[in-house]
Amino acid sequence: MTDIVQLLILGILLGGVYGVMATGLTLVYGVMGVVNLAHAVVMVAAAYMAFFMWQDWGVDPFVSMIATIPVFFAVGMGLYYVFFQRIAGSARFGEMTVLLSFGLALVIEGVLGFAFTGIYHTANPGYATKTFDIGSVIVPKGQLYAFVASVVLLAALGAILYFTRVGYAIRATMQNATAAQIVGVNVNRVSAVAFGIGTAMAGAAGSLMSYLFTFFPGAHWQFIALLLALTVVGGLGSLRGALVGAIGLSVAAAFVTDLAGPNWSYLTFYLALFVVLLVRPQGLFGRKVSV
Amino acid sequence: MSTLTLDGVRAGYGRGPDILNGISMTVESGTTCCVIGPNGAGKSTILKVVAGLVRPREGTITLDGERVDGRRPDQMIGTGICLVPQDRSLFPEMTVAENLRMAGYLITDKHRLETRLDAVYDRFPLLRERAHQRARTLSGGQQQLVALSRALILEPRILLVDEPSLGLAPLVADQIFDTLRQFNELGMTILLVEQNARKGLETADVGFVVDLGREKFQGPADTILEHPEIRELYLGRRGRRPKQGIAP
Amino acid sequence: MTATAAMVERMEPARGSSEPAPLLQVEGLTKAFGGLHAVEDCTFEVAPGSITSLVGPNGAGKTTVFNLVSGLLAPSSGSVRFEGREVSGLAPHKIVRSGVGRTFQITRELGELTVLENVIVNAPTHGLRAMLRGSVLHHERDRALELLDLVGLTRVAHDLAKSLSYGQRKLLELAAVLMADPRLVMLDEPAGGVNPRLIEDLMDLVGNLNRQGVTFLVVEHNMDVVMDMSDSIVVMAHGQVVIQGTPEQVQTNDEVLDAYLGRS
Repeated sequence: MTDIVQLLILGILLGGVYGVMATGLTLVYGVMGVVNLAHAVVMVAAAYMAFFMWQDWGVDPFVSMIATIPVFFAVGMGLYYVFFQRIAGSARFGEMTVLLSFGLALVIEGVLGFAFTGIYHTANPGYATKTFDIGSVIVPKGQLYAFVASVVLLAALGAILYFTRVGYAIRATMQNATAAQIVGVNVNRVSAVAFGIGTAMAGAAGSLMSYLFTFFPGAHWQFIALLLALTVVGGLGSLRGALVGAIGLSVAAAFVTDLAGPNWSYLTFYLALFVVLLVRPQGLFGRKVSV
Repeated sequence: MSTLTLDGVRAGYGRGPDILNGISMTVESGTTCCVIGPNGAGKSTILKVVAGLVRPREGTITLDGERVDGRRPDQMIGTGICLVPQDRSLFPEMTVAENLRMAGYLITDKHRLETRLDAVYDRFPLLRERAHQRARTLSGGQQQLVALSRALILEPRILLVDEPSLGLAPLVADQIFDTLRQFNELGMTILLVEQNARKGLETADVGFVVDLGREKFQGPADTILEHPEIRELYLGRRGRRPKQGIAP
Repeated sequence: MTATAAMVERMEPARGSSEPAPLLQVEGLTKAFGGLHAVEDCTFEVAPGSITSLVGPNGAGKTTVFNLVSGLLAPSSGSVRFEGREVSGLAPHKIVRSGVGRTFQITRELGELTVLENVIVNAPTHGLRAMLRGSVLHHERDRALELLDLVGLTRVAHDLAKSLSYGQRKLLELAAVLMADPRLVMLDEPAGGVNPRLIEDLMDLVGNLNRQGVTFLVVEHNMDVVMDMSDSIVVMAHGQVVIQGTPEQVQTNDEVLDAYLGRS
């Protein structure tokens, strides 16, 4: 019995963090149809930033978000204006964004490797290795704090999207870009902001990643694969879907790990992806036809 | 004043062929004009070009003498042009109220927006009832009403309506046309495109006949269908070329 | 002998009789999408050796009927008989093998083949497979070149199809459909988006082929073209057939004009 609760908790805690990573990715797709394969490498870059702030200046990873979030928001908008805006009107836009972001990911990974070498890093603030013991359930402190931070970040994202003018414009563009233009939304600028928000979330996730995982320049590949699986299962472009996918699959993976060992945890995500693509390609909450 | 003039406009989609072939026409301020013509005549394209969704390859579009072509669609509101597209183009997941508020996206004066929203709800109590209903669950006629109400909020100088009766039952379509009549009485200039020529002309002052991307002729809406060229326009030239076929 | 001469040969027996059996007979054809009846109880026929046009305002159901006859859609009810045999509901390739061809837009993928290859691909003896194997039969290649000559595209036979102009593509589509040696050719808006001079060329081509015995069923919006070339016109509106008749009959029929102008 305890086992199940334990697995549930581990799954949910990790799922929350994946949720933050995934919502950034799916937001960008929903607004402008961009599949951003460089999303995870931005996370890793942010992890490096958070790590060095911790190692050299003693800044706690959570506090580092004050830096990573705005910095990577700016980076995101910059990337959009320099690269993605150029191909905005083209016929094969979807495929081009995949190639473009893939290239960006390689370049950024290369730069990170050049600057920091391939040595594995991980930050080690006190709570990273401590746990709360509640009855027979073990709750790792680091993951719990990360989960709380994720909830706060997602709430903030929700607040922006549902209570600010820009948020309305972003949601309007996601639902019907033409209609948005008709009411005066500058779809281009909104896309840039949405891209910025997406990478800002990647930045925040990076701060969390700095102590939750051991990272190195090439670590982003396993994350982007995971995140794509998550977002497709939840439905590309659906924020709700990204969250449900993240938490649902993380819990499932926790159970699979318990039953079959850690090597199989990734299999859960890919198996789910496979099944979804066969049975319901638009994902759990993906849209089919709009008004 | 809101007189719209197209002069020698050539336009097409992407790299495709020209749909509009140097069309010229004038919509006088305060009138309702209905554009009719056979399939593929380019009627909808006229509206899209004026609204900025399609860039003209040649020619100019002016509103009261001021050039308005070549701008982005979101800049068109600033010039006083508002489009109601064929598919209504609402935000499906947003409620009626949110859709209407989005129409006021560019209105910075909150008080003005609230006043206009109230005016919409007063005119269409149906919308007040369904204010919190998601747009995609509305019926076709109700969606069209929301799309038109967006226009009320924007108070454009000229309203472009693309096939208002499309997909609507005749009685519902009548209500929509009635609404357009009310808008015109408020002083809005209206340019509409309608597949159902008879219905569209009933609401209009002037009829424009378009074919193969050019203007053919125009006239008062109530008599234009009696124009001798109408039959030939819709059903082809009289006097065919003799064709040597196989004797049946 | 050439394919078209062979077609004429086949036509000979029919000429003797007073009123030949229709080549294509559509009866009570209905197609519903959920609650929406795109086509309702549609009945018309295509006489052998004729050019029959299918016209009507937007949303009349013409394209749906076209797709039903060529097998892209299966009917909800009703029948489609070609040369007396029921073909409704058959898969498209089976319908082609029965002798009914239709034009298709040159897709992105087909654009990567040469003009000549685009025609060969439609050969009745599995042209595509032969092409991939590299063993196109001589007579298939000759036939393809002959057809290209017919439509005036010999000069660009070895150019990639995607390099053709819009009008040239229409000519290529025609040559491609003829390769499968159909007895009924279905043309999907041949005059759409094409300049007037090329329309004349296309219509002359269709006229020539028709004189040699090819029957045509055409969906077209350009009414001048329709009136010029058709022997029989089927007018549709709101998913139903309004009337089938000669051009004169259709042009003077008030119901037809009403269908186009709409109900007030």
